[in-house]
Amino acid sequence: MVMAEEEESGVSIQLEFPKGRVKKIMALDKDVKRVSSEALFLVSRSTELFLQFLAEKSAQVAIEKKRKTVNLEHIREAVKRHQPTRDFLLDELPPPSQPTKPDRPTQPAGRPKLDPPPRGTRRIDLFFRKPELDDPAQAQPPENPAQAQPPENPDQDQAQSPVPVDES
Amino acid sequence: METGGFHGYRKLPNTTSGLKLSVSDMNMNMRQQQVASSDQNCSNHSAAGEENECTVREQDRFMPIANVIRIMRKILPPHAKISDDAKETIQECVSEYISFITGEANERCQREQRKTITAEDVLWAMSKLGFDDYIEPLTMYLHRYRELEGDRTSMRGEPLGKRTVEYATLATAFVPPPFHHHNGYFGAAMPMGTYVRETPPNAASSHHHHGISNAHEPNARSI
Repeated sequence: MVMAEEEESGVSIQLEFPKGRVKKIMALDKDVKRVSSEALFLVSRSTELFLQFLAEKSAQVAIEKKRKTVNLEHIREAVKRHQPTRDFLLDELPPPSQPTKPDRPTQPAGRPKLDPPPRGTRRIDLFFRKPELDDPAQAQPPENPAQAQPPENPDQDQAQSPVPVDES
Repeated sequence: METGGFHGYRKLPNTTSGLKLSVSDMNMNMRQQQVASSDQNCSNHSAAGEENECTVREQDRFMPIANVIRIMRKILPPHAKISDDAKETIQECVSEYISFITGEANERCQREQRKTITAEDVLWAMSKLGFDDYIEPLTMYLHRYRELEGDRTSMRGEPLGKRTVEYATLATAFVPPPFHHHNGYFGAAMPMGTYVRETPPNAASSHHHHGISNAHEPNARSI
């Protein structure tokens, strides 16, 4: 059926992205109430175009810097070069770890991660956020009061130098 | 036993911190799921015609990495590689783009006091936000889509079936990884003796979390 449709239309309208996922992401905005199937289709297709654009520009940046691996800095540079994308996306990108040295000549692939899946990274981020958000009642951090004992140096100025009185 | 455990607990401040964070992490995950579920329920309640989803997982906030990589491969040179942080960042960029377009389209929709975002709203958002180059190809795609709307109506049964299968797969794949990661983390971080001592509470916590996950899945499947 899908193949037949493609042959008839001459242009493939099969989506690369699952519609359900796009709908869920759109629904994250509480103000969004209903989305027509045509609008959902357009957003999915538009997202594909955006991703293709981002990949193309990032690849160009990587080639300019003579790298075979597309990394975070190449994406950042690609975003900077396109004003509409820059407006909404540049602030969302992770901050550069080394502003003065955007490229790492020794390891272009970046830092090796123990948890490549995004969920692992999410969890690590959550770890760092936990203490600021909540104070778990069950966890009792051990109390190690700093018993600083500053050395006491009392100045005992015993300036009792008797003035010699010459009885002449 | 308790004294020994407490002593070990004290001796390893880093491990203690890790343990505390882990507990907080589980609590926070549960809370976030509840909040997300609540929000999603509200949204679904508003959208009567839409299909209902009980649970919103972290992975649902991003496009599937496999789809993202596949589309990028078509554009990138054959020998090009993508670093892990780049893949992750691209996922976030794509989600941010969807939210950006959706917000603008919805703004126009509400200004005209309508409740359903239409294709015209999306095209208008493209133009306003500076993505004019996308309007022509999207308009063409839209025409094709409308031409096949009749056929697509008859095809609605099959996509739903596929969607159900996909969701079941996701549900099945969701449970094991966090548990394994959690266990591995403790195994790596803590000495064997202390780990053995901590096994019962960890097992209980993990079981509790697992139970909650199971509780969510049947509801989702039933709906």
